[in-house]
Amino acid sequence: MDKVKPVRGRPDVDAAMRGGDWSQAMDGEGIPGNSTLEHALYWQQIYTEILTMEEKVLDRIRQLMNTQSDEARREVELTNVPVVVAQAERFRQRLGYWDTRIAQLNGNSNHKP
Amino acid sequence: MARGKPKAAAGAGRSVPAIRGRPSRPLEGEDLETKRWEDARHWISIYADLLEFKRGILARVRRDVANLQLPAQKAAATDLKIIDSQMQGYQVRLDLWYRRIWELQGLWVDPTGRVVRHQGKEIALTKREFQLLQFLLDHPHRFFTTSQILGQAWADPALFPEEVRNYVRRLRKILVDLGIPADLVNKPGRGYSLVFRSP
Repeated sequence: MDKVKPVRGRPDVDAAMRGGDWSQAMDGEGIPGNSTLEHALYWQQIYTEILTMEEKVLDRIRQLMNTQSDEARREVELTNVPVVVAQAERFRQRLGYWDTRIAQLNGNSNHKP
Repeated sequence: MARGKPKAAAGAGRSVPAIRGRPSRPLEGEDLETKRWEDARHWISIYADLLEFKRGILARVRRDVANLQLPAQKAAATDLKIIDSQMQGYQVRLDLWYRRIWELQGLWVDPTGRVVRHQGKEIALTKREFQLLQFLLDHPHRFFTTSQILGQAWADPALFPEEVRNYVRRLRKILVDLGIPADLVNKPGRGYSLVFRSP
């Protein structure tokens, strides 16, 4: 992930974008490389659900932005969009880890959980 | 409203009340010192739009988060916190602009003598009239139920709800007598709100 560039004068946005750190796992997630197939499938489902949600939210934001004044649209572009994009990217990346782990486990029947 | 800013708050007028909530930041091009009434209206509409927008997003996120599994709900809670904190910031700016528009409109509220002046006219208010007006001015364009007014404006929930209706009637007359371009509106299920009217 590229280093997050601070948004000048918007510490709230900076903090939110730091939440998009790909290495940041959810509570109880554990390390994909050490997980069982069942565990990996569970986390794949979790990340699929949340990523779907974030993408829907982003669509809704973009849809609502069309009805906003120029000033309000700029504010939304500065605040909501990068935050949701960063979050979605983090979830997409984490989902990728779990997809890879599942493929690995499915391709290796001798794998010990 | 003249009580809204230190440099305008001469005489016995109320000093600047602290705005509770998160620190707020102006948007690009926003100047709270403007002398133009139209600018104030413009920024009020921007912040009102932004708040409406955020409410829409918040409702959407809340609805979707409820369908997620627990770990995902926890992760998505970040979105809710961010939106909520941004909304608080917008609300502070919106309140500042309402104060500014009152100020540009020539409204002056003096808590010492409980006097309200508007464009050369003035009226002395009773304690409860003044408390109610001050409360509504401090929370413009927001609705409050009778029990919220009893508890927050007068800090006396033991009063009868009829008292609110009585004082609302009295305040409406005061607004008319002073020519203040605002209506004390009542919406069923939401309560009372002081709503600014374009002159």
